[in-house]
Amino acid sequence: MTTRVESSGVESWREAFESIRAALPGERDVAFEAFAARGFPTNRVEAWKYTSLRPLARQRFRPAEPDRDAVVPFLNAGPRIVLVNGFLREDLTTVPVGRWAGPDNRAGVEDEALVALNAAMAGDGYVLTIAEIRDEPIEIVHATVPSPTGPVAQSRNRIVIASGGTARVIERHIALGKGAYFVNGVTEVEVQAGGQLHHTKLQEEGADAHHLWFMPVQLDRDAVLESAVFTFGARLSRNQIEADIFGEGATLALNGAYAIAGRQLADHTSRIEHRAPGATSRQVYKGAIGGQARGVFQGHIIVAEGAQKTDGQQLNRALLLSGRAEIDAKPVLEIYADDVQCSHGATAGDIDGDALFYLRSRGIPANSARGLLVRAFLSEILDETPEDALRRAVEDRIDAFLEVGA
Amino acid sequence: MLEIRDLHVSVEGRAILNGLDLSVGLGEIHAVMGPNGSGKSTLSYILSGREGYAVDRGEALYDGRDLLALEPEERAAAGVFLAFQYPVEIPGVGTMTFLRTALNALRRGRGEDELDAMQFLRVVREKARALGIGEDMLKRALNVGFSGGEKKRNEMLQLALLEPRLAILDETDSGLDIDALKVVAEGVNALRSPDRAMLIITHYQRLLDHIVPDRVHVLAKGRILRSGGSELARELEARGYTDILSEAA
Repeated sequence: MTTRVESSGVESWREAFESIRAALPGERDVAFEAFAARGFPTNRVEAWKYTSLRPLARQRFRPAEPDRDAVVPFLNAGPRIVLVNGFLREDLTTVPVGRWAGPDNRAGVEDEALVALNAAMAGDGYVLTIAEIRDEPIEIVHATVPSPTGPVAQSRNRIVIASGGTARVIERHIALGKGAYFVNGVTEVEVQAGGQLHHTKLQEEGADAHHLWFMPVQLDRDAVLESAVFTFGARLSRNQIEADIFGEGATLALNGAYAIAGRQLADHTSRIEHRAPGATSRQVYKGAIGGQARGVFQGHIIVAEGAQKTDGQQLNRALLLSGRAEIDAKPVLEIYADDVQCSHGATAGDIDGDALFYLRSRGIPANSARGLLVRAFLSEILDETPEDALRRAVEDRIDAFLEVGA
Repeated sequence: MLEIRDLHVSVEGRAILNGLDLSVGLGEIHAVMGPNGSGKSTLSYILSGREGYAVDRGEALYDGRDLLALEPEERAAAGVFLAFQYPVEIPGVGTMTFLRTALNALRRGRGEDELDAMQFLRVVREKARALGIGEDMLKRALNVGFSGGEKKRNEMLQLALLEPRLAILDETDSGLDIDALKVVAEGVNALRSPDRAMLIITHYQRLLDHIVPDRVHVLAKGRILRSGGSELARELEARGYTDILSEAA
């Protein structure tokens, strides 16, 4: 057992951890040992059945260092929070934020080896607390500077919407330059009674990046979280949401759109636990997959005993644009209450041949026609997005994808 | 302009067209009539380039070019247009976006300037009005939630906008009530021109009361069994297909 774990790369991470341990605030050893006991998840771990991190475990990464000079591009001129290499850039941040001060070893979340690794090694992170109604979107940029040493950027962030608070947040993940790097981040989201958060994530990591991001969510009574993720970048990425709906009447909407090609792997995993009655969860994930790329969707809905009148729906649709593109979808419903409405659906297929012929018969060349259809497929998720700059950024990424992937 | 000679077409090994001959000259309107299963839709699809049909023998020449060797978009660029019997619903693609993309693709192919949004809007509004198509219909996703009549009108709008040289109308009258039929027929008649040919494929004669063809052909068992003037359509309406089929047998 020990041999297997140690051979899966833990030792080099122990070295890395010990090299920065003294500079980190808070108690870290418990978290690191929690990671070391598990190692990087492989296909043998059920939740990682379709996304093995074995290749990642074999590579050596060095903890990324703060970069005080990097120039960071923005979508909007509005309020923003900026992190480079996982460290807050106070000079670029225009929103009052707190700083993460070390792990509190919250039970449950640390079950995930990578979250434990993040708890052990994260050097910084923002804490954004909103108690008022804010209309203007807050742009949060997570930028990483690649380098030949293979930097790993790990930040631990937290968004708290207090009762009566409403906010719009855009989290962008970008590379400042070309090259390999590894991002292992966490954004914790807590929406207190009656609060509302509209959250959009735009993942545009570099082509050689690995991106793992965890979003533990807590929803109190009548809280609302709408979160959409747009995934385009990274060689391998996983967006994992663990939602705990403990408040009655809360609403959770998780949407995702992704377009991947080449040998990319994009994993969208969610686990929603309805622990209170009368709450609603909605999930729609749509992916366009070209080349030899692979999409993974795992949607797990748990309705606890007593969570009556729960309404939980999830839908996963994939457009396979080449014969070697692949989607692995695993929806799971686990229901312990008797008065609930839950459903899941999954479809995977090629572009509709009738639609393609119809467009071509009107003189639209095959490539443009395919592009129109892929855009149309992904537009359902994009149409929910109110911010113009964000919408344009996503459209540009879809166009770039169509040039290489479809 | 269209010359079909001894055309044999099969689908998944099943013969559908068995030696079809048809010649349509510029400026002419021809009707192809036939019972269900006679190969009418196959004829329209093979001419417009849909996949899944095997040409076993024969040819179709369009202005002397081998039409069947061209991709669907190349046929469209050369001026071939099919008004679909069942127009396809495409969620997420706006009707206006579609119309503009199609028109500009054809204009590019003809070496003409593309229309900008304002120019396009003017053209499409004028043609839509003539066909009784409201703004709200143009704002919806392509054919999504359209009634049968609305879909057919949308096909006629595309016909008017794209101005093909050879228009093939596949069962355009199906799903239309009598008022819609008149509107559509007026639209088609307005496009009659010495520079344009039309092939009207239909089961029933009623559309031909409004669009009078120069020639009528009876298609059955994958071949043209009889050809005649417009009076042949009325004869078919009165006597049905049975007589002709038995005469030919």
